[in-house]
Parts: sequence; C-alpha cells; structure tokens
Amino acid sequence: MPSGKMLRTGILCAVLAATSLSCGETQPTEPNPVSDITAVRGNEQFLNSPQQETRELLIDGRVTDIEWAITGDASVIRMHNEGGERGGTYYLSVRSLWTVDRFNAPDGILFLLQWPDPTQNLLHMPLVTSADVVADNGDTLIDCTTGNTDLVNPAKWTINRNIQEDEVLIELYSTQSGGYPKDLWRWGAETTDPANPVNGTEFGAAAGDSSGSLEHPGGAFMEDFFDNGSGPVRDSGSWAYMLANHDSTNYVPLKLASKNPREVRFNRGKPIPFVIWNSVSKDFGPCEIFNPIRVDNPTEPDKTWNPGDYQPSFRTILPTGSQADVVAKGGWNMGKWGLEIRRNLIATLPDTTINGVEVHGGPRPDDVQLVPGGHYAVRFTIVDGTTKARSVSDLIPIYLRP
Amino acid sequence: MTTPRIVSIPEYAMSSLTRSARTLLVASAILVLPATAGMVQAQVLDAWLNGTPVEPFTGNGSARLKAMGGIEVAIPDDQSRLDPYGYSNNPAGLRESRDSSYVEVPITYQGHDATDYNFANSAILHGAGVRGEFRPGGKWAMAASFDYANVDASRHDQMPSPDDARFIRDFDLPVAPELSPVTTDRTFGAGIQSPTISAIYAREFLEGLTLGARIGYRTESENRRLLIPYDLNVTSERTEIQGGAMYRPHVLNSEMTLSGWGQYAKANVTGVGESPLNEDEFDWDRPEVAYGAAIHYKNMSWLEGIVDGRHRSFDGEEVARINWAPQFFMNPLPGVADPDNVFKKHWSAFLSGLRHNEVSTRWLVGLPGRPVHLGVRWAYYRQFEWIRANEVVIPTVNELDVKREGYNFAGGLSVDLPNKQGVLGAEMQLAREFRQDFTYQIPDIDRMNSTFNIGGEYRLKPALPLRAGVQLIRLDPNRTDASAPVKGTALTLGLGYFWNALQWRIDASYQHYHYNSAPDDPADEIGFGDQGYLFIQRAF
Repeated sequence: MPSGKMLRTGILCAVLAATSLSCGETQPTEPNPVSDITAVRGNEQFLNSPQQETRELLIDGRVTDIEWAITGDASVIRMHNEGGERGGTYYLSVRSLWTVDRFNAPDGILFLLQWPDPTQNLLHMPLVTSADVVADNGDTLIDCTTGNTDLVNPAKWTINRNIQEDEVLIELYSTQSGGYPKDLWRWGAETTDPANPVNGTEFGAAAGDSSGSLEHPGGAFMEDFFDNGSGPVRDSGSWAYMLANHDSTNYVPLKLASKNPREVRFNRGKPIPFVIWNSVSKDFGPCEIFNPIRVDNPTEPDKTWNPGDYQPSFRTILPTGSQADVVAKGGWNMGKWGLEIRRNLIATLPDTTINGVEVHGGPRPDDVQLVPGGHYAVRFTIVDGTTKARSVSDLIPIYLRP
Repeated sequence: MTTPRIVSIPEYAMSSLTRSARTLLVASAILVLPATAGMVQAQVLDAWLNGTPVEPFTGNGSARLKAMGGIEVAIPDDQSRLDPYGYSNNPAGLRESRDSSYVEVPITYQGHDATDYNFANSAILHGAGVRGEFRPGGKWAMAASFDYANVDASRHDQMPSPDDARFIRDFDLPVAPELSPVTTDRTFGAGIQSPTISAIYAREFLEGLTLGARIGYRTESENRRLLIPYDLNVTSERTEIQGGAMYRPHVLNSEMTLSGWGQYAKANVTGVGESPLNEDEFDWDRPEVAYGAAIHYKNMSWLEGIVDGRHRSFDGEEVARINWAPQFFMNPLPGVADPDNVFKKHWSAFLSGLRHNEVSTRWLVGLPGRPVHLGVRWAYYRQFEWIRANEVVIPTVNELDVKREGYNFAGGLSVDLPNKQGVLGAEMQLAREFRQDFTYQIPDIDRMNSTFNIGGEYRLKPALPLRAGVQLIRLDPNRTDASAPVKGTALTLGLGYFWNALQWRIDASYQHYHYNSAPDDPADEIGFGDQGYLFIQRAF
C-alpha cells in the first residue's frame, strides 16, 4: 500500500508536470552570428600581382577585396536604437587586421566598418540665408555699391540644425571588459571626412595642406578623444573642423570657398557644397554677391545668393598633433557606407632632436596603446543624419590574434 | 473548448461570450460555442482579431441566442450545450451530445470599427462552413467539418501609445525588421484566408466508457500591408490530434459523466520575406500540448451542469534563415554584385512559450413546476505568455512577457411564455482581466467589461419565431486610469423558420452595436459594428 506521503508526492509531481509540460524548444538550436572581432595579422605592404608589385593597405574609402579578404568572414554586430525607441536596428559588418611593416615590426591596426544607410548625409547644420541678390525678373535687390549690407545682415542668416551629417563614434577600451582608459574616435561625413591632404603636385602652393599625402592620400582624420574614466577629453592638437564659420553672436558666414591666386580650382578641389577649405577661403562681405556653390555648379544659371542658399558651418583644416593619429575615409555607394580606419598600434610622439641627437618619440600619453595578442573591447555608435537616430552596439570584445 | 486564441480571454469564455459580450471585450475576446466543437485553433487570425469582437470562426455559437440580445446562459439552446462535447470539446462526448444526425451550414459576416485617440482599427470577417454529425446507432458517432474564413483587418502599431497600445500589445506574430526607427504611428493591415477541416469519431467500447478521437488541420495565409521596404507575410499550419474518454459511473442514477482528453498540436507560424533581392524565412515551431477533464451532470427533468478544468502550453523557437543579395538595402556588405557580398546566415531569432490554466463551470436550472430557467457560468484563468528575442540579432517580433489573470461570469433568468409561444430572458455578463507586463513597456492593466442583456423570442406561428433583444454595454479598458467607462448599446433582431416535414431549421440574426466614451474622455473612443449570422440545419 502506498503511504500517504508517497501519494502526496505523486500528486505534487503531477501538478508540477502539468504546469510545465510542453514539447517545444526551450533553448536556442542555432548558433548566433559571430560578433566578436578578431584582428588577424597582415602586412602593411603586400604583393598583389604576378609582377611582384607591392602596394599598401590604403585608407581611401574604396573597399577592395585584395585589402580586406585576409580578415575572413566579417563580424556581424547588431546596432540597436538608443533611447527606448522602437526599430532603428541594423547590422554593422566589421573586419579588422593588425599589420607589420617591412621589418616585421608591429605597425598599425585597421578596421573596416560597413553598414546600410539608404541616404548619405554630408552636411551638418548649414548656415542658411534668406537674402536674394537678384530678383527673378532681373532686378538687383542687393547692391553693395549703394551701401546695402543686407547680404551680411544677421537677420538674413539662420542655422538649420535639422540637417545633420552621418556620424560614427568608436570607443576603444583598454581591457576586454571595457575598462578605462579608452580612446574615442569620431567620424563625421562633413566634419572630418573631407580632411584629407591635397595632392602636392596638383596644388603647387598647397604647403602644409599636402602633409601626409604620400602615405594615405585619400585618408582623412578622425577626431580623437581620450578618456581615463572622468569623461572624454580631446587629444592634443587641432582637429579637422575646429573653425566655426560664424561668430558666436550670429550665423553670418565668415568665410567662403575660394582659391589661391595660382590655382585654377576652387577650394583645393574639395567639394564646395560641403567643405570650406580654410587655407584658401576668403572673407565674406556685403559685396560677395556670388554663391560659390552656385558658381561651381555649371547647371545653375543664377550664380548670386538666393533665398534658401547655404554655406557650411565649419571650415576644414588638416589636423595636427595627436588629432592626426587616426586615418579614416568613408565611401557611400548603393545605400551602404564603408568606412576604412587605421591607427598605429602604438601612437607615438614625433621624433625630436635634443642637443643634436635625434630622439624617437615615445608613446602618446593620450592614446590607448595596442599590443598584438592583447584583448580589448570596442563599442560602435552610428548616428543616421536622416532619422537622427543614434544606434549603438553592445560592448564587443576584440582580440589581436598574433 | 476548441479554439483558444493566444490572447487574454479564457477559452471557456470563448464558448460562452457572444459577440455582444465580446463587444465589451474590446481588449480581447474569444468565443467557442458548442457549434465550434471540433474546430482547430487559429494562430494568425487570433493575432489580427485580438482586441475586436470579431470571432475567428464561422458561425460561432447560436444565431438564435445572438438574436435575443446575446443571452448566453439563461436560455436553453441546442447550439449552446453544456455537455463534454459542446462545452469541453472532448471528442468522446460526440456520441451522446445529441440524439440525431445533423448537417449544418453556418454563414457569417462580422464587421467592427473602433477609434480611440484618433487611432482607427477595423476588422471584417466573411465566413462559411459546413458540418455534419452522424449517429447511425447508439454505439458510435462521427462528425466532420469544413470552415472557411476571410478576414481583412487593420490596426495601428504605435507602442507605447496613449491607449496602452491596445490593438498591438498582444500581436504575437513575426513583424518585419526595421532599418529606421519607427517614430510615428502607422497603420498596417492584412488580408487573411483560413480554411479548416476536422474529423471526429467516438465509440462506446465498454459499458459506460466511450472513447473518441479528433484530427483537425488549419492553414492560414496572410497578405500584409505596411508601407515599409521589407515585405513580410505570415502563414501558419496547425494539425491537432486529440483523444478523449468519457465514463458514466453507476452513481447518481448514471446521470453523471467523468471525461478527460489530451491533445497534441503540431503548430508553426512561418514568416516569409521575399523580393528580387532577398529570400528570408522565419520559421516558428511551437508544438502545443493540452489536456483537460470535466464532470458533467444532467438530470433530465431540471438540472444540468458541468465543471471543467484544462491546461495548455507550448514552447517554441523561431529560426531565421536570411539570404540577402548585395544590393538588398539591409545587407551591410557592399552593394557590388559579388558572391562574397551575399549575406546568408541563419540563427535563432527568439524563444517563446505559453502556459494557460483554466477552471470553469456552467449550470442551467429549470425550476420544477415553473416555466423558469436559471443559468449561471463562472470561469477563472491564469496565463503566462512570453516571446524573448535574441539580443544579438535584429528583432522580428514584438517582445512579450505577460501574465494574464481573470475571471468571467454570466448569470440570468429566462421565462417560457405560455403555450410555447416563446421565451423572455435577462442576463448579466461580466469579464475582468488583470494584465501584468514584465517587459515594463506597458503599464499593468485592469480591464472590466460588462453587459446587461435582455431578449426574447415570440412565435408568430409555431414554425416562425421572431427574436429581438438589446444589450447595455459598459467597457472599461483600464480601471486604474482616470477615464470613465465607455458605454453603448446593441440592438439585435432575428428570425427563425422550422420546416418540420423535412426537419429543416433556419436561423438568422443581425446585430448592430455602438459605443462611445464620455464627452470629457481624451480617448474620444467610438466603436461600432454589425454582425449577421445565418444558420441552416437539417436533421436526419
């Protein structure tokens, strides 16, 4: 005879089974996509043809298989919307490798970021005018020779904060668990991406504007921050867009795109709708009746200022010092962004000469230094200029596989 | 009960609430009436009709009762039976459920429109079916049915929203992945076609012991309308295999039966996203187990009642199989047509589950020596449902982690008119549900809906009954908010015809209902709808 205890136990088991009985899957049966990043070893210079020609890994925004195939399958990282909004999620593809130079010494780390974006946004908060120099019937409405200064009247200029550039932030932590210090690199489609050196041959008077053009002629520079746990601080040096193109009191442009007297091309060849290259810009005054963007557009018959015309909010320069550590260039094609990034594994100070003796620069104190075999962590943030949505990734481990 | 939707209303309640009551249940209502015994549960229709009074089956319930103000328990009716087959959906009960063979054809139209906070939602169902029950002798019986429903529904998908996302919060079907954030309200809809077939067999094997089995199959195909680049449509298949037993012990003059049943359902919901540049499949398998038991008592002279308990549960996983051409807009790789740029992967997209427990009882008392019937029904249910998305992939479903707990009550009285001239009845129906959201996207909700139903039948001639009724509707989507309940009225009309020579019976009913919120209610809610039922029966 079963005891009462056994009976009660049996009833209890039956009740428990009844509340949990099912026959479907309770654990995932498929593996997740690989989202951890493994940077493989590569050569900064490699052979790429039967003729034994060498080429470098170029940071030029043009993603070619020969450069990136060595990394293998890309990591797939889910970008998710920040701030509790629904949607706004997509996949970011990340490839990475670290390189050695011709002497087999550790050299640089490279990232390739690719993500879908139906529209490219290359303008950031432009300065917009309501001035109209010439009416549709040909009458001159603003004539500076009569003392009319409407063109530089602060009431005629506003800033359109609704237009924003596409933007990427990369946080590189010094430990796998996301420990500080960390580097923070920022890329902006207008604010940093056009800041690549110009061709010294094409622009004879370019002077400092061609600095670095022999290494990565297409590569611009990301804005660089350092964070030891108390908040990000800009690295030393000037950054690419540090010059606001308006006074703090109004939104009248200070400068317009122009050219040096010895050149035939505007703006060092930079795209005038998005860039004012500072070293060749000119002052904006009441008699600057021509809009450089219209001047550079052969399909536009009216070259003067019209209501709704704009100028960039920033002037661009080549960065200096530690702000020139991270080389990057983005390219948008067929609804996808591709962003190539490179930085030296050990970002160093420039060499100096002390008492006639050349002294190699040591590691920069405001950069996270990377070592092959090391484990670090990275977090990506992408801001879509169209939706203004800020999508972030989780903290992604990265391993520099020796 | 056959057709539990994975929403918030107890399955028993599905069997008893008429559309009028469900009009009350603007939040979710499911009806499974005896006429639907043997039906296969809907999966896609459930999601699209959730929050509306439209039933996912053709001809649920009794057209006769619907015409009498939607009374459900107070008036005895052949289409609203209390036996283990009609109430508990136990196939073993088929043999004794009725004493004749029947062929029945239900046809229905149900349309519902509702607007709150300027969110318009609607559902329209056209359905028809044919059912047969054959009882050639006392030893065995069999039944077969075919049912077809066509639904056109639309709703708003903003969440959170001022109405606590009433029409989307329990939408548990795969949704298209979004590349851009959804920051504004959108309307999306779908047309759904759903044929269903089922067959039942019951036989007495030993004295007093009847065994029965049922097999049913339902498929649903959806054509979704939503103006986003990613086109996702959902189909479903569900095969149910059910076995049951009914035993009549030699006690209480053999007027009592004990019955039990178990069911396995092979169920899957498949989302398919196809374009010239992508071919994706989201395969959600969720096999379900259900079982239940009931005690039924029927004293032929004055009392019939049933006590029913049931459980149903599933665990499921959605596996996504993604195949994106380089040019596809969601593919993160370059758009250049290169095989290396094809994004082809598969992964586990989410895990899901459901646990539903329910106990209910219904009684119908005919007062001895009096032309008076007293009917009462009560049910309590408790349900957990969850859908937990894989956090490393783009979500293809609205996450759920919810507990629903509620009760349902109906009670009323009916009086037969002298000389079998008809019947008059009055009934109170009440449904209450507590919804607790563990995702914390939506506040906890305490819903209470009630109707007061009055209706009657008058026989102009013995074969020609006229029916009419009225409902006073009171809906409170959330008792914890400051808004006053929504109030309304429904009017029902109907007609029957009995052709005794050929044993034909025809019932038709029509109902129009309308409700709206108080003038100072910010929801400015208005709902209205029409429902028509035609029921044709031939007895053999």
